[in-house]
Amino acid sequence: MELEQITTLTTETPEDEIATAIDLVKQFPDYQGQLLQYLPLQHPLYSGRSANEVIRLRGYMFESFGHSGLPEEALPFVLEVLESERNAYLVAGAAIALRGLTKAEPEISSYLLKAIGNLKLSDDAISFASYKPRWPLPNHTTGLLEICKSLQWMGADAMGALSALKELCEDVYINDRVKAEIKKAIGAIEQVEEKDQPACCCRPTLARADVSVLQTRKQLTLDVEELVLEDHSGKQCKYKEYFNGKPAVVVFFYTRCDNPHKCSLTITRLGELQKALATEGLEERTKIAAITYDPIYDYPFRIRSYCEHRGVMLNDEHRAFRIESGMPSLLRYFSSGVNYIGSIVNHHTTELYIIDQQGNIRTHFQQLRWQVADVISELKQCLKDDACKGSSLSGPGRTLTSFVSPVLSLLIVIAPKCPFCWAAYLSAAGITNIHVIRSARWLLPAFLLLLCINLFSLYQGTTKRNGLWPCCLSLAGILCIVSFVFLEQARMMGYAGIVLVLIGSVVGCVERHALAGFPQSNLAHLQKLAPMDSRRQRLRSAESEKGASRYACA
Amino acid sequence: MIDKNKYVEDLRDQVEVVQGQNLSGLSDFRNAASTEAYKEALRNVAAISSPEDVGKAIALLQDKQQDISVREEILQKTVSAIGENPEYIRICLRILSDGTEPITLRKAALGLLKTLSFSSRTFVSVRSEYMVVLRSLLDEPEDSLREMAAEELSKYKDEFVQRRLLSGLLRQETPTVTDAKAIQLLGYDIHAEHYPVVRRLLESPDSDNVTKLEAIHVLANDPEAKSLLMNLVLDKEQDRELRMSSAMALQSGHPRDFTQMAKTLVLDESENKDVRSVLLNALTLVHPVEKVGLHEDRQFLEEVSRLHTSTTSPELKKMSSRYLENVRKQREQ
Amino acid sequence: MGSLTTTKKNKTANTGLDQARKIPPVVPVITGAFELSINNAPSGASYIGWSLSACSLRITNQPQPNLNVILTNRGATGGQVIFRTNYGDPDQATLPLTLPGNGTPVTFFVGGKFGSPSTDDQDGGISVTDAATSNVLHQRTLMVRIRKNANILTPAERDRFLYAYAALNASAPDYQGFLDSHNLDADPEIHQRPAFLPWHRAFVLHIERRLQFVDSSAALPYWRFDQPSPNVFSPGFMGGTPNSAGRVSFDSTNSLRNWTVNGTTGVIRVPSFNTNTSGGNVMNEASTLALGLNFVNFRTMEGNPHGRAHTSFGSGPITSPPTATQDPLFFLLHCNVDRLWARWQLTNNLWNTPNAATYSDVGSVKPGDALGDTMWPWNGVTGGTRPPTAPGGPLPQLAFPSKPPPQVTVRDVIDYIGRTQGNSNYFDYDDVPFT
Repeated sequence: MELEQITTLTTETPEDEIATAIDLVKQFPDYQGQLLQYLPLQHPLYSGRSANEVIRLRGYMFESFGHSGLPEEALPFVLEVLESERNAYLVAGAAIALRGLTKAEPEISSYLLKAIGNLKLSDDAISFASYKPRWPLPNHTTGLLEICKSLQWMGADAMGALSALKELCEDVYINDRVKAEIKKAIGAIEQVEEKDQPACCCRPTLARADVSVLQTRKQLTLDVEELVLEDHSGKQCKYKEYFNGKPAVVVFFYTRCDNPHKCSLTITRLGELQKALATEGLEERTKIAAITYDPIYDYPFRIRSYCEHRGVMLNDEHRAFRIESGMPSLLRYFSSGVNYIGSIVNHHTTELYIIDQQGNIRTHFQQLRWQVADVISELKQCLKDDACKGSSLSGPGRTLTSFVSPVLSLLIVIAPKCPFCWAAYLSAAGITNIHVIRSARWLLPAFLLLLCINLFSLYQGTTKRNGLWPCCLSLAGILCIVSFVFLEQARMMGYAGIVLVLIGSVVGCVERHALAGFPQSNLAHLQKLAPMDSRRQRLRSAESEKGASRYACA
Repeated sequence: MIDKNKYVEDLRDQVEVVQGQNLSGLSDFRNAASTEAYKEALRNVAAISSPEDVGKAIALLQDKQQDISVREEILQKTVSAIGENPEYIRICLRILSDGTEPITLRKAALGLLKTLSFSSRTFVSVRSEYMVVLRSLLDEPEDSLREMAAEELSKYKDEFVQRRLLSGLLRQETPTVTDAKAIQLLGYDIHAEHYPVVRRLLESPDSDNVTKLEAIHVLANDPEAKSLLMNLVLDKEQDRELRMSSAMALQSGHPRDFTQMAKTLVLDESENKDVRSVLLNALTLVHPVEKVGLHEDRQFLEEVSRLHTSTTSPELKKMSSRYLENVRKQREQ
Repeated sequence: MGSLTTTKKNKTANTGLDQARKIPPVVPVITGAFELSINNAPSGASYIGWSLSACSLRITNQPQPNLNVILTNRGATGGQVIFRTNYGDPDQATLPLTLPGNGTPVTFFVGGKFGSPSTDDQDGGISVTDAATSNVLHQRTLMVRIRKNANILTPAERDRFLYAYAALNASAPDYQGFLDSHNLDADPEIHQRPAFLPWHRAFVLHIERRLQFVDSSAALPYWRFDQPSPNVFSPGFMGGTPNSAGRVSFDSTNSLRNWTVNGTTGVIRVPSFNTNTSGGNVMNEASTLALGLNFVNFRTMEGNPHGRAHTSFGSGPITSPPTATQDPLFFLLHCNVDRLWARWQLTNNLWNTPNAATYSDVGSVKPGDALGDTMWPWNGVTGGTRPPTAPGGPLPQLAFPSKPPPQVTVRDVIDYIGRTQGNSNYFDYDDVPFT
């Protein structure tokens, strides 16, 4: 019952019910994994909700991980909040979530430092004691205080943040109460005996997630191909016309984004990327597209000005686009991390895509801040790849490719991949033809046993896969087969039974996350943390600063 | 020719006089002990800045027995000093949240805190405490103070005030502010969820024109309100101000639709002249990119030229002149 | 209705258009064989302030005998000018020159005559008169373009300014840059620091120059917030008496009727003072100028009167930092803040740097306060201690080499008046003379 409360949240679910479901996870920590499906911002759960409602839900969700434990798959979402958000409730939830980790990685401290920087001008009083509290409250905390507590929890693992924390003790924008907590964090770091200190006392550079590389190229679909794009000058073209012949960089933005760490920064960095492409001699060999999430408001003159004011030079190969009709198809295709209330964006992630010469998505940099050097590297690789060289397919060739690919994909999907599935397939096929081999009736129990083993394995996977549906489908299939066996006239029942068992097995093999658009296979990559873009370091150190840059290695 | 040197000398003399008055005022303030003496002294003081004087001033501020006008003057004269000290800021927060203090003093305290938000780093560091006090004021019995707190919170897109305002509009609880004000304040966050209820209020016959006007301005951001706004503009029986504001809202949200409609109504002799004037006013400001097609519409230009010649309305004459001047400049570029 | 063509310049007569537009008779400008350059421009509309502009005059039909001429004002009305032979010379109402017959230019300086600014575009000018015959040989129009008290603008000046302002606002993304440069995230970069005044001087100059892209004759007026300004708070200007929800009213012909920010239309503003009889709840000007003899004391004016001016309203976006630029009054308010600084500099004769009395970065905690520091967002530097993005681009430049440069520094705006030759920012206030 409780499980269903957690796993069946939809766009229609009232906010308070969602909060109740989250509270259940706090009560039953084993269910923490059920919340993972709701972390991607494109999940229907967030559709039709205001920006503040989305923030409340996500903040509350993150905070629950601090109690129930933080699954590793959730870590990139948490780090994304610390890196880019400036709402105290959301950031506090993320900071608390980190304390649900079994072990802290030193690099995490740099995210907490970044969050302090983002929040110190807009810190706020918050409370997770209940959902949607009614002020005034007897007790409350603040975003900065929770970040400090997480740093205290890290203890010696936050050694690299020590000098930055000492600087913060002198920061005029931070009040005494927060400074007291910072001093506690410093104490927690320094109290660890020297022999127990981590090997590297270097201040961690601002870490970023590794590239989320889709291992399988995401094929362009027909409905997206035909989408009409209107650019910053009002000129129109089809998707397939623009994304054709050269690899392209695609980012999303909208001009009414009120978080300067998101769209404004994305477009600013797109300008930096553009300059880097020119330096690398790739300007003529690549394309850029900045697509607005908000086509109804973002008319061409708005997107033009927005991009140009942030240093992006727009021309025929580097364009800003709006898509007046068909935007949902595009967002589905890109699995874009955005959601809406009506037609207005309520929340979104930061993402960059690389499209190959045929218009297929090749690479997806998601959640954490992409680095110019990585994007350049991927573009170079794309140009080197055979798939990116040569002329584009056209006409019949392109049509053939568009048919072959989905058919092959379907075959791959339905082919049995595990012993249980093989057993199911063989037993279903065998049992329905048992009447042909009259002498082999003794095999009947064996086939039934294999089917039952398959059924049991599907039942065991209900919590991780797609609930009870695969199990139910296979059970229905088995019943049909059995009725065919014992009622030989019900031949169609036998065939129906085979189909049901097959479908049940296939659905049982597919991960829930893949259905929600979250590439499970990339999670492992998201855990890796790497040094900051050296160019950004040079930009900062070029300015005469009064203290060392917070993010430079001591 | 004005003697510039004398001009500067006169200016210096004025400043010297004021400096003298300020010093004299500060001296009187130090020696003052009665309400009248304080009032007289503070009249001549521009700012209190020395630590001793500030200490005395803060003590007066905290003295509930002290005359209200003296305490309010203290708040005026110690802006910078209070802004540098978190404890002084907290004193102001306590005054603001203290229901036993006079309303005028509490409003003066809120005014000071809002001033510090422009000028004080120390204020930024205690912002979270400020937000707590503002939220507590949403239950304040005094209307204007409650409204000021709601407005301040709305500007920061505070989620609690948004909940309160929306539930007030939906009559799920006693409204915190009037419907018109609630709509206006919710409009500070375009990503909020108020558009459906605002549309309903605009269409409701029970809503007064002030409420409807606020609804119109906020619905400029709501694509689903397009037909509602369009119908308002075209309905000649509607209040003129509502029609004109709807036109402006359409221009913001749907510039292409607005342009076509506006051109028609400008030339409609049966249309109210103020409405025509406002629409023509707006057409002079259509964005350059959108002007392609507008300025090449020769028939419309001819009609506006004729309007300029024939109209007796000073407003229409002025607007048509401005429109034509604009076209001329565009062509010369 | 309507037809589309693609030609931009339509040379065919539009009789209706021309007939409707009665071009007012213009006093003809006499043109002779001379080249009179103002700020490196030999022709075209010219704009000067009180600060001196470099000029040159030469004969163009050389060779000729040397010619003695006298430079005078073109007329007795409109903007008036003074002349100087050298930068440091006293003002002269007329200037005798001897022009070489070989066409070599003679240089001199011209500035607006304090107290006699223009009220219309190109209503002033210079006449070149033959010293022997008193015949006018050549003329050049100009405008003495000055920032004025908004309360005393003529209706025409007011309407020209409002149109340019509304046009800039209507090109939403352009005005958005100003909103993005003055919001909560930009706050520590632009407030609560020594460079508060220099930064806002550059900010105000930026928008003024953008206004001049729309209408070259536009100058940003200032709201004198310590005095009654009934004309400012009227339906023909910044908005009249607000309704019960705080929404101000505009005349149907007021360009600000179209004011839109982030897609929301209209203006909310409720004064806490009687706009007909008093100024805002602020320290008066004399007291402001008396705050101190050095910059460290003077800059406390950031709280009062600057902050107080913002919060002299009971309601409206202008009362809070994250929303202040949403109100069109914002730039008029800050123009006055800058004017007060200029008046203080004039009173204490503080133009030179480095001089701690003129400017001091004491109290600075981050880059952007020192004299040589470039200022965000014009320097395009982001990240670290600076905001994450830098919208708006570099500071718009004049057509001739001048200060401040595109990446403006703190120092560049201190001597805005050009007390030292070459420092002028080419803007002036009606009550701050060039001395």
